[in-house]
Amino acid sequence: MTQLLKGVLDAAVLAVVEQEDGYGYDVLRRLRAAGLADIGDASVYGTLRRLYSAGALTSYVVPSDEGPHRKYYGITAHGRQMLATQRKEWQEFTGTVAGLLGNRNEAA
Amino acid sequence: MVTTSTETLAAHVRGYAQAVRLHLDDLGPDVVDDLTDGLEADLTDSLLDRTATVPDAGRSPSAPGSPSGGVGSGAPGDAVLDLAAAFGPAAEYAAELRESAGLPPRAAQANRLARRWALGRAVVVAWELGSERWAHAWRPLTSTPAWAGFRDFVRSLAPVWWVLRGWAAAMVLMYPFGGTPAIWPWSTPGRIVLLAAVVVSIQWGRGRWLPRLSWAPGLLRVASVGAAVAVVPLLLYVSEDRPSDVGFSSYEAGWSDGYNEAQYSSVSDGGGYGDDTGVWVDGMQVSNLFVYDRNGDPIRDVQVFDDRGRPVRTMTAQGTAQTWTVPELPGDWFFQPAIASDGRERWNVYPLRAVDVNDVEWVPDESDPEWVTEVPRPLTGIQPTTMPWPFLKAPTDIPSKVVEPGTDETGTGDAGTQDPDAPATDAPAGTVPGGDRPASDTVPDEDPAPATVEATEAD
Repeated sequence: MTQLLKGVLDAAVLAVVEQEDGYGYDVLRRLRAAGLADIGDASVYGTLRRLYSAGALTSYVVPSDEGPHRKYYGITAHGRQMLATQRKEWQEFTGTVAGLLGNRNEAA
Repeated sequence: MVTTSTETLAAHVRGYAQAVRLHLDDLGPDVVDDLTDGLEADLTDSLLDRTATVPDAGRSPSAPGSPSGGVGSGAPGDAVLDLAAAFGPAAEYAAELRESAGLPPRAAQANRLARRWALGRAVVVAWELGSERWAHAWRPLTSTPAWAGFRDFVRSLAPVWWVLRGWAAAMVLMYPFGGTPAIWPWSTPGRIVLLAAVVVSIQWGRGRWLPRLSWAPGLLRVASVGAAVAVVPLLLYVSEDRPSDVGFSSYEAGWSDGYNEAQYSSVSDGGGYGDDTGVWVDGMQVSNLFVYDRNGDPIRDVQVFDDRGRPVRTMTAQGTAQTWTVPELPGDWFFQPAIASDGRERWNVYPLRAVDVNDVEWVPDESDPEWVTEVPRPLTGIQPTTMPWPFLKAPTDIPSKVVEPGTDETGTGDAGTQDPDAPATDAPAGTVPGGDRPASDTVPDEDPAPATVEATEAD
């Protein structure tokens, strides 16, 4: 799971942020809620930072009434492009792998 | 559980975030900031979610947070928050963070350093191992809320340390130029250096003004350690009372200073300002003089001059403005001059009288032509007090008749031992009726009025 996840974490994070801007833990929670329960906190935060450096995300700080401020991320045009590419690649890839592995396990 | 004090939670979160940053500190402050900005908020939210879900973990198996998530799992009410149990060790968290952010792992950096300096690597590895073990050994203590509170308290003292560090650095910097350590230097350049050093130290402490060079943090660390080492002896040095310090109670310290100096020379070599003025006996500054007549009886209001006709003043300009302690008399005292019949102050009239520190007002000094300095004078209705005599009666009588060399006076055993060639002025000690002890006769009643003496030509 972990190894598989690494390959698609960028796409997953981009997809979550594309739905709605979010701060680190918010993105993490939505990923977990979507079923990626084993995802590591730091992996998500590091990925957000890397995507931001690559220009796929924009960020802004929202002060909090109580407690520390939150750093929100939003997707950029470049990020949407990236996500589109990765979606396409993922669909092609899963199609290929599904063909290879067959569909013996119907429940999956 | 939200009942866990929010502040405790925040303190733990800050501590954990700080530990994570420490494991990233080879990346440079900008990257670390960028990577961990908002980390506290994320950790806090995550913790709050966990505390909310852990008690009913069985009901929602898909809830985030592993079952071992260490928040409140043991004692829900006042659980000790161990973030390392919830998020894993800070080192691993940091490693995951940097890896997912596409940054090189720390080991690679350490290796690069190691290839350059074998010794450096040994030191770094030993240090990291040692500090990990140290931190681990203390975890039972350091993971308690009380410790977090203590650490917060100590952290809040950081500005005090910044000031102290600047001061110590200034003292060390000025030393080669002859600067004497002092809380507030005497010289203007010294003061400028001190202010500059303190401001720089504070700014560095706040993370400003540090040159953006790879060795800057190292320099800061070395300077801090050096200042920490230097600050103790420096503080000890300046906290030692010195006779030249205004407002200083000079008897006790003067005695010990004088005693120490007397081991080496009978004359003070004048270590600082004011040390070579006034009257000194065996290296100890004298505040008052007591004169006894030839019968051993005390004499009041004696004018004392030296062989050049100069009035002998124990109270220098500085001495008059400072308090003194007096043997066998409690309190701090300002010595007062005698007033001559023409109204002028005479400081060479002994014994000097003194006024308690609480009974003075500060008035312009009449001898100062510009009237800018102020001197302590007794409040209206207060009379200066006579200081206690060292002896009620001097231990030795001096007969007025000069003993002829070789003549053995009746009743004196001393005369025979005198050098026959001694000059007549070196009169040998005569009869000693009272032995070496002070006589117990009472001193004649004192005149409560301030001393009034005739003005003399000599001044």
